[in-house]
Amino acid sequence: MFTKILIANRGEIAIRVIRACKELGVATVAVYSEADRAALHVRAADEAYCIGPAPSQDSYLNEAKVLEVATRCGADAIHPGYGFLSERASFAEACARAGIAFIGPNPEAIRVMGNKTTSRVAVHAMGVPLVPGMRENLASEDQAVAWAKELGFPLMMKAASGGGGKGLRQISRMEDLPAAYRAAKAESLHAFGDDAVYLERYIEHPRHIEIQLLGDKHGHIIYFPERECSIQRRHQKVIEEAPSTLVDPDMRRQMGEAAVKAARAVDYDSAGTVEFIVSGKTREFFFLEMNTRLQVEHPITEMITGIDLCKEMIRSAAGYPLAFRQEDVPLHGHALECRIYAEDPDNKFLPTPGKILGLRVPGGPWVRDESGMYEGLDVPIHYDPMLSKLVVWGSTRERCITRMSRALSEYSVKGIKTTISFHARVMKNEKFIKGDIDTNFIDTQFQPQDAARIKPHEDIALVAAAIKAFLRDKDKTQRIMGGECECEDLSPWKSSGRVQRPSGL
Amino acid sequence: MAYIATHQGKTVRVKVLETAPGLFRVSLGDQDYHVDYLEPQPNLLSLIIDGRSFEVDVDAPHLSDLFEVVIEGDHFEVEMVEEKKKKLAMKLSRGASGRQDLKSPMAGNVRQVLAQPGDRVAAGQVLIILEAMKMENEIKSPIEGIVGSMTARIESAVAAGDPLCVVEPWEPQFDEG
Repeated sequence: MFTKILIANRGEIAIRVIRACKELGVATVAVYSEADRAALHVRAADEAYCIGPAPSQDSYLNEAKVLEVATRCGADAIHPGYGFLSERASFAEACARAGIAFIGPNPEAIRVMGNKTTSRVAVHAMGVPLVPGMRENLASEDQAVAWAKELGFPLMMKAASGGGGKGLRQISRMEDLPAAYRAAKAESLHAFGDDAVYLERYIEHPRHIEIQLLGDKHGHIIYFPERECSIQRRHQKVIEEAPSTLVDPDMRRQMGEAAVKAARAVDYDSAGTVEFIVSGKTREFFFLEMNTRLQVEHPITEMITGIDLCKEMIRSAAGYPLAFRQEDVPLHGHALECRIYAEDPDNKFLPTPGKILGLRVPGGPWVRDESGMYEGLDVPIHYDPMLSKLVVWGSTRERCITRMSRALSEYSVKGIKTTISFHARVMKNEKFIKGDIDTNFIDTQFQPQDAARIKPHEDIALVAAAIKAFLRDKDKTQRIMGGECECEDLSPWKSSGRVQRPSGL
Repeated sequence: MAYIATHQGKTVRVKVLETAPGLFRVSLGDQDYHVDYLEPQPNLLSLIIDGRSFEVDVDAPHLSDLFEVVIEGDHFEVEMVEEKKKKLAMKLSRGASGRQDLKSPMAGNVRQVLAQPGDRVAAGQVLIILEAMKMENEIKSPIEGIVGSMTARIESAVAAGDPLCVVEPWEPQFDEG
């Protein structure tokens, strides 16, 4: 096993990896940007080093600096988490040259799977189904028209270097094709520095279902029960669950075996995920992409299998063979994850960086809070707005949803707006409860329903605001009238913002 | 004390009376509520009304009459203005100039400034682009008008509520050639 692991990440995932290391008895090294001196992962690790200014390019994405710190502090492995350096083949190679283990797959796997076109070619050769469409990039507008005739509408125009929902364009009519082609190329060049685009069939009632894999350096690859990530907002996952309501044991096995085949195409040797787009109509599944990292939503798989994926990923990078076979992977109950973002759900999901003035974390049976937050933390503006992930388990989906509702009602973050209330409302949505969902559910169905919903407690809201206003005005009046007022009933919040009174008074 | 509460365009007169420390009688129109009120954590209220317990999350930005309230996942934006002040404000607002002070809706960085003082702008025209946490937010002119001043500076940081720019309403002038 490794003796010291550097975690090249921040936020909740850095904490997740540090926890796994501590349980394995491995020393931990945090790196942080100048904006993250107060971040929780800095305190959680055994050692911590500043790697540069706030912008990611100057710190968390600075390969040379991260490697220099790792070498200097004697780390024998680097865990990249997700995002940042996790899917950079060049970084994995630089680690190998420096004699430091990269906790992730071999660099070639990252390279092949990191590009939509090369990954599709690789998995297609293994017999993994792809969405009907082009196997190469579009060379001209005429070619686009020819392909559109063959594939039929609706179509999807995709950027070869896209990802995370960016560089996608749905086209319903031939008339729209030429303009869409030019716009997609320009957009892709601007966003990814590459203007290659291609066409494929648009899947109706699309559901995003993915298979977690675990491989080792001895040629073993096993799959886990699927995760459904169809609850997305602007193509970003917000709620994930495992297993999916659409998948039965037979389909699970088929998807699992297809995912393993895809991974075999690149001799996959770590934790990774094969994403499929599944037609909610026909239940056909097609390869979307492979993420060559530990994903945000990995905890729900841990909850239904009892397997610590983060720890297994580290063991596998250290050269241990997998500790279990395919038939040893259980499926027990149901798990849900809600991603808590620093965004205002009642104001177009605008980011809400700022100071966390109060925090109460949910507890109780089968509730797990994966967080990088604490009371007093100033959430910086430079990084992803995800604050934490609330993960719960239940013996059935219904029980899991009611447990998530309960846990969300206990979760309180003060000082900045978060998406907690949004999640609470999704958990009460009839269609969600029935499992009648697809990737457009939030944007096209939930949001309009949600905006038109009846709010039962309007009176209570007015009562609360009135008393709050009354107490504030009373406090203001007393200050003007009586100067320094030390009334009995003066609660601490009223005096917050004033000079602190000496304790014991 | 009496307030005029406005929620989703509806207004109601609200009277608040503190009957004992922590106990209030609140009248919403002609409906009375007897409220046991406690603020165990800052801006997190515990209300007991006729034995029913509510946890209420309230945000009241400093010096503002706008209260943001969340109860059981539902969000309410309530304006709560003292009755006397409201009456005064009603008088003053008559014949308002329509001058628009645009403030930053969030903390972030100014990515682009797309208008200069003196520019004539259309309603809905993008004036400024802010960025925070990988998200871009367009600040648009709410009215047709002339940019009066532009406080936003490119690549500078702004806090939520910081002034960004002023748009004066467009009034056609008669040119005497």
